[in-house]
Amino acid sequence: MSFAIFETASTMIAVILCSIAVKLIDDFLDKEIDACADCKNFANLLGSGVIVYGMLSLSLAASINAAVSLPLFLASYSIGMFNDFKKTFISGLSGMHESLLIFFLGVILHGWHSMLFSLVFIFSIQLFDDYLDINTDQPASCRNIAQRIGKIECLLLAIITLLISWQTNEHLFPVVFLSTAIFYSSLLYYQKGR
Amino acid sequence: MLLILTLMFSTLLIGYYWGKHDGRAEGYKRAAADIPILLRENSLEQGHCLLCKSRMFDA
Repeated sequence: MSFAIFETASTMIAVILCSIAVKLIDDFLDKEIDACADCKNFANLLGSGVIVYGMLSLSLAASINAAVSLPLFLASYSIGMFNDFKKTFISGLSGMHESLLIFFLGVILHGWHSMLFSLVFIFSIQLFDDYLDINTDQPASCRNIAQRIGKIECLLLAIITLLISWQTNEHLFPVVFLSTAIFYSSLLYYQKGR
Repeated sequence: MLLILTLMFSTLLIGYYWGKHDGRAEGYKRAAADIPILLRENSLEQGHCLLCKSRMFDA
């Protein structure tokens, strides 16, 4: 019984640390966009050191539970790259190619089941985030899915993908969902004043 | 249970998208038919004809 509690708690901490890493790296990349939109950004608060804290957070998450946190991080990278699918990156690959490459690397390293669950779950979170940010995101950037496909369509698609991720891994879903909800609520509380 | 919920929300999404698409097309057709008449009615009420640009009466 105590082992099960310890396992659940450690998985939750790993997911929260992974979420922190994704948020910090995302803030580092979107520093200029957020500065123009006058949004709260951790990169402005912590300076250029934000990327180091992101790496540290991901390392800790991987040390606690690599099987859960690393597929989630790779899926976040894959989804994030897919948003800029036409842009060419430092690697010389387009966003879409990088996204597919990272996904298949994740499949080789962590297995289909794990990567599929992570990808669908992160896509669902991305849709919920875009639904909530429909009025704050800049329409010109074209990165918000809710602005592109419609607000209700985005919400319904978010619910469907969340249910699909639940079906993909019924054992892991409640823990990952609860951890993400805790992190996201804390983030919304912090960004309330934006 | 999860499968039923997924199917339920998927059907809702398809129905919503279909309804929105058809509603937009229907609304555009109705507006295209109604707006010229409404504009003409409005112009005649203001005392001039929108088509021949002549004044109907002095204000």
